Amino acid sequence: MIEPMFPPGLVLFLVVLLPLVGNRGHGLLVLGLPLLTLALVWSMPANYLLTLSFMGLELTPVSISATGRLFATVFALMAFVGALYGYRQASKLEMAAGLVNAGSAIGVSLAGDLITLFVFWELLALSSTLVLWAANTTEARRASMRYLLVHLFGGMVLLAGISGHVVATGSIALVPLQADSVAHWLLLGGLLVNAGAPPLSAWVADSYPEASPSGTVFLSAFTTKTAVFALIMVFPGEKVLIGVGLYMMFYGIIYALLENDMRRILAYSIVNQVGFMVTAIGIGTEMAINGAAAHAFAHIIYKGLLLMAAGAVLYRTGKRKCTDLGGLFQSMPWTTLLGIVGALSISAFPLTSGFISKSMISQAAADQQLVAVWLALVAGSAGVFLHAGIKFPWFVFFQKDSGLRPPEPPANMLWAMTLFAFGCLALGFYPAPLYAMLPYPVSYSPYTGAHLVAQLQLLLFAGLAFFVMLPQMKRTLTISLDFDWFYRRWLKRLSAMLVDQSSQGQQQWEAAARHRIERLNRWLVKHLGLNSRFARGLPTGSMVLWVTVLLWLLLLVFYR
Amino acid sequence: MKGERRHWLVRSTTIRRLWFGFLLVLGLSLLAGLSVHQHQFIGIEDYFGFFGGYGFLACLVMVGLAKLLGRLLKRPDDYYTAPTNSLDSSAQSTASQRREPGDD
Repeated sequence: MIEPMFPPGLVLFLVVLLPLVGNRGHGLLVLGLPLLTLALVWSMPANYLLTLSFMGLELTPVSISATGRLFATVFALMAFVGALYGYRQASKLEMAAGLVNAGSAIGVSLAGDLITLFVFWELLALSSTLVLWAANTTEARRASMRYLLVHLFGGMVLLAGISGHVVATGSIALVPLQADSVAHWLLLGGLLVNAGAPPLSAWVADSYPEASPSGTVFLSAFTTKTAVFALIMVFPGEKVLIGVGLYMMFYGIIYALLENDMRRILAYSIVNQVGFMVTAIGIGTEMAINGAAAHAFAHIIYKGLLLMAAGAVLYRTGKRKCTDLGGLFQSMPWTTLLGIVGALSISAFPLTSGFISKSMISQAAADQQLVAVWLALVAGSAGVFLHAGIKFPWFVFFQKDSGLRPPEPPANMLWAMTLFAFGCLALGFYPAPLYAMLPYPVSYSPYTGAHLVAQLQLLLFAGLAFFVMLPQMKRTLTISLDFDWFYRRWLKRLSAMLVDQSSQGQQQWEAAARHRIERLNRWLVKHLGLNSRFARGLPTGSMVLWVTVLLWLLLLVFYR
Repeated sequence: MKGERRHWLVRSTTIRRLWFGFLLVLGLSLLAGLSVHQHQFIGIEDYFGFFGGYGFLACLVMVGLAKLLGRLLKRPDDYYTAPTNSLDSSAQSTASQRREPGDD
């Protein structure tokens, strides 16, 4: 057992040495650090606490809980596979930012108090912004600024909530709370911004798809899932989360159905999947919390896989719109196959990771007799197959032949995808190790005849619905308006209007001032100008006359 | 790919066979439903083909809803990037019109 005196996530921050090491050190650093972090997380004893006095606060930078260890594990795995995927392709800045991103996420998941959580939370936002920035396109830079604004706003709300909570209770401990005061509502709101909850859900699909192929893979894993972790720790069983989660679930499906950009489809699907987890946290039973944690673990792996497949296509073709793609299975058979494994996993087909995790959530709803929630979850599961499970592989790799014949991606990308595809199937075939890591003891067995039949019927008929309605699903060159319209268009218009109004006012004022100055000028010219009374030349004779008159007057006045 | 021949997967005979196989699997999944007993908790999930029918209907509704919302929300995909947008920049165009006379 190792008892380190620092948060294990900080190990990943050593990646900032990247510019100093040569080519040989590159691989050692970017692949070694995630593995070292993983080893460190697992070598620490359960319930290990590291405390630190700082400015009068008793901080707990490291607290090993079962939930935290689960999230830290999958974050470290993701960092390793993400680094392998971007090994040669990601820029040094992107690689460093990506691993710092992972380190911050691990920092959050092992945080023992609200202050530590907040510090890593903000580092997460900053490093994500840098990952986006590293894509080095105008669109990505703009998206990164919008991303930063949304997350700084979320961080501010969170900080306000934490401050209020600390003032009211005097405690910074990371304990379950209820949304029963303004401070706690702010805390909940701040956490939910990062989860992609309404009304700010749009940041997910606005920012992630603008990153580079490898950048999106990094980003997809950390921010939303650290929010899931924090919600599990702080607001388990908060009923409002059920509604929020269900909204996110259907929001993701509807927007993904309308979307044309393959990586935006998958970004909307992140919101959808996090919706399942948030709903589960709202239900709040042991089964539900287990389901949320297991689903987050499984989700990071299959979503990473799907985005890696999409990234491979983007890397080789430079195209991202479904309308430009299609028929790629002919020249990218491995990418297609691995992408399909990810698609089946997100759809929760039997023998994949989604099947053994998502079913715990609907089971929890059934156990609590939440009929409407259960029906919504089942409909949502069918919808996942519709919008991500079939739509993504179909429009990218099959449908019409686009005539594109790109080669398979480089070996490191293929290996990264293979590792995660193996992970999806391994969890599906043998869920016991994952179940053993969950926060509560598991007495749930996903492979019952009834469950298998129910899930297969649901998915197969959802598939039938897809192909029956294929003409309705024809892709169009469109985007769909979202809440981001308010800050991308409405505010812009408003400011344009204000500028316009104020410049009009300025013009009127200027005109009035000019008019006044001109009037003064005219008056001066009239009275003091060349032709004015004062400037007129007078004959010398009249001068002499007037002097004579004055002298006569003086003589008269003073004559005694 | 052998010359001009189409990939076996996109030939119409293969696609017909795939549809046939798919429908067969659908039928089998319905039949398999007869052999298991779903836990009764809302009372209808043990009906014949409940999950298939519910999944199918749910998908129809979701696609329909998406189509409806799409009418309201869809915009050309250069909506935010295009420098001037004829569809939507009424405020900006009037703004620029208003500015022009003041400039001279």
